Amino acid sequence: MGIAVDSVMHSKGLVMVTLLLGGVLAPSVAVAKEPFIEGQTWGLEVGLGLGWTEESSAYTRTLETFGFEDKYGCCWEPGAPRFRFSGAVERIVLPYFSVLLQTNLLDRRKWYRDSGLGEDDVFAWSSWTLDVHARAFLPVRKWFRVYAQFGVGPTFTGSRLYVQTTADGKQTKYREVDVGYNVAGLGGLELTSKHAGFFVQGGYIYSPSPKNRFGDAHQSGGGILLFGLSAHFGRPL
Amino acid sequence: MNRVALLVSLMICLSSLAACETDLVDDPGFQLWCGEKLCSWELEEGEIRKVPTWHTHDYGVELVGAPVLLSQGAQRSAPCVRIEVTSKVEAGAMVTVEADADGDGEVDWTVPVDGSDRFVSQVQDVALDLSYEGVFYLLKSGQGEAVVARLRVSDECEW
Repeated sequence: MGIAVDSVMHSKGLVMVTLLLGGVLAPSVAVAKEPFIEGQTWGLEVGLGLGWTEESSAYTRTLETFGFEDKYGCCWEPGAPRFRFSGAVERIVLPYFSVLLQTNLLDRRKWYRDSGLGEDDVFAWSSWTLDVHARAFLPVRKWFRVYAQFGVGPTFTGSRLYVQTTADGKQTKYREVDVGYNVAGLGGLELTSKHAGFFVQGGYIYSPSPKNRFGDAHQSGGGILLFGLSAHFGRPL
Repeated sequence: MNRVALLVSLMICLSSLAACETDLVDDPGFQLWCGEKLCSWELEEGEIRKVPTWHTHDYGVELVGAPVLLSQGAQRSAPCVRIEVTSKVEAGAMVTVEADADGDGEVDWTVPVDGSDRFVSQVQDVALDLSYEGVFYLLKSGQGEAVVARLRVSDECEW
């Protein structure tokens, strides 16, 4: 009974907040009368920013079992955000809808192990996505829009293992590529002139790649916040 | 004057190298293979095989059948010994790390390796006056699968 009452109160609260937000925001998010960027159909985006992902995973715990350590260096603490990059090509196919081919740099790591043979063993990897995104946008003005997008696609994780496997004292580099998948939910806003603009984009990417031979995976995605530049061109729809 | 400075630099360099060197056996990761044999470890009895572990090119040694005995002489003397083993050992395979502290042919202590159906690591410090003639052994005496990915022996003890 207590739970039911509590639930009703919670629902009422949500309704009140929604109405309040609607009342405040509705005038400002009204759809622009003129088409966004005068109806141009192509766009390019390049973004830089930060990502927050899990430090420890089944994958990294296995690395630790085998003697590897994540040496963070002088300027980075465990749990701090890591560098992220994105690039995208956008095609506006309907007045409020576009599709994008987007790539994101996810986690990059470098782990070391005392080999007992001289040089440390090194294992490094970096993960990239290549996704198709569907974006729904609301042109508040012809030069300003807010949007939400959803994407899926493969994740490619390139890895390099440097170990000494022969008695000649030299390390050998072994390259591998793990192909996984990712799903992304992002939102953002863009302020632009006719051809060049600025955007802020944030969201979450789930990407269980790389995986090791035992099937242990590392979530290379996580939360993301990007700031970037955009360009628009092409004939109107 | 320059020669004196060079000599002092060389001595500092050598002393710091000696201070950093803690490993008591070569190739703790069983990475160096000379054909079908390990380059740094002596196969005294039984059969071994090179196998991949978490990565295709990060190897371990599979101890095939029983008994299997690998050995390696200590690189130098030490007042204590830390054993770090990463392994996957079926129950019943009975794998142990042993040491003959002074090379007289008698085993002075034995550390049993934990059984597990996946790779696990274990660390144990042993109070032992190891001579430079000491010998370390990796012994498998029971049937069942046993893969050892790493056997690091050092003097990084916590006491």
